Amino acid sequence: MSQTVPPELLKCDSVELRVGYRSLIRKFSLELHAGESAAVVGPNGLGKTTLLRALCGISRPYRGNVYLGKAMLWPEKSDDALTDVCFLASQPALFAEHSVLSNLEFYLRSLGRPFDPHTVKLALKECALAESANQTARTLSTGQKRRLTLAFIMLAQPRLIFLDEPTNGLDSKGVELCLSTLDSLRKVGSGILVATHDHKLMDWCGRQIDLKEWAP
Amino acid sequence: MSAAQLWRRNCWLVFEYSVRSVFLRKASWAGTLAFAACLAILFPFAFGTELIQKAEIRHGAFWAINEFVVALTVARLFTVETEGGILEYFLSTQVNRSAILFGKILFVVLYLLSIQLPLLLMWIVFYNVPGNVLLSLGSTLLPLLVLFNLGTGTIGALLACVTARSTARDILMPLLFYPLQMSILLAAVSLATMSDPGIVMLAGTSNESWWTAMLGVPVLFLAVGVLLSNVLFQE
Repeated sequence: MSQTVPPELLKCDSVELRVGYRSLIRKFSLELHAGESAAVVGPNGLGKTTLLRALCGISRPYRGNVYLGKAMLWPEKSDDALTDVCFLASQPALFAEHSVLSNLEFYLRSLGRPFDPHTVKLALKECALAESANQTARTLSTGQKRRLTLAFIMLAQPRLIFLDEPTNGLDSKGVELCLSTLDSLRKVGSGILVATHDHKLMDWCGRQIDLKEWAP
Repeated sequence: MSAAQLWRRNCWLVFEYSVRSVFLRKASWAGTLAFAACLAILFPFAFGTELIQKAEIRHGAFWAINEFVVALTVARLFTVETEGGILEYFLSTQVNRSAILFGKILFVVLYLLSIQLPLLLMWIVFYNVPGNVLLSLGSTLLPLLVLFNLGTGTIGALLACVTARSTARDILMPLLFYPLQMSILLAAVSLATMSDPGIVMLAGTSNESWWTAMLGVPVLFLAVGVLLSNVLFQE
């Protein structure tokens, strides 16, 4: 019996990234399907974050093609590119003066998800943020900020997620929460690409992409 | 969801969160208004009470204060989003860049107006604007302010998009902004001055050409914004 191949969420070929005139990565190619996860690994300064930013459309690669879903993102962005995508940076992106709830509302609405106070409360409780719901984001600890982004992906379940060092600042319980959240997302068919140095996370991803292989 | 609905949703989200951020950081709005009020009080002292009665000085002072307000507003247009990293997150969701631009333009127009309306009252009081001038200005000044804000907001938001992620934005913004905005400022000052019955304009100056400039600049820069939307915010 033939197995159906899950849809392709991300594809790139012959991508070259540069910083100034210096090449970081050359001829990098990757395919990521629904329900797959991969860890981008390598020493500091090799271009892990730069790669993630280029693949999700924040910065332009020097050369190569990137596709989100079936539509082209680079070099020419197609109008029907996959929109259910998000990049969570190593420093959680937040409106510093807004409350936890307000930030979560922004996150959800930016992906077109409804803001249902009941489910939001449950997610915050699961992320140990229930008591901080009305707290200003600026006053949260690094770990709490990270948990807030976990609550977001838990609720929004984006189809394709780029995570840069998602376990930074998390305690052991937080790391477990991160892994279980990502696990449930992978099960529902999300594609996950992580840049990390965390061995637990690398092991969870299964597939590892060592950027040293593409360094010039 | 259709592309148009998606665009409207994101445009509204940018506008709404910009407004909410102002409410949460009241200091920036109040600070700008206080600064404008200080200028409105200081100018009569600088010019003297006799000179301030001259219509040209009166109108010039009002638009000069407006220009300071604009400078303060436009320079900080993306501060909240860039400082918190929200802009990068939002860009990664494949949001249409023009939706961010339009959301910010809408915000700038209303934000400037929220400062200009109390400023207008101060101007009337501090500059002793006569009743007959007020009557003839009444029909001109409000549409003029809205168009001035629209033109300024369009140029400002477009340039703020381009320079939002540049390390040289503090230098780039004024260098690019003022030359482009000059036509709007000249048109606003000229039209306000022309509607004052106490002033006789030089021959050859016509209302129509200034109104064309007031309307044309926002249309031109909105079109540029839409055409360049894919390269806006490019690193």
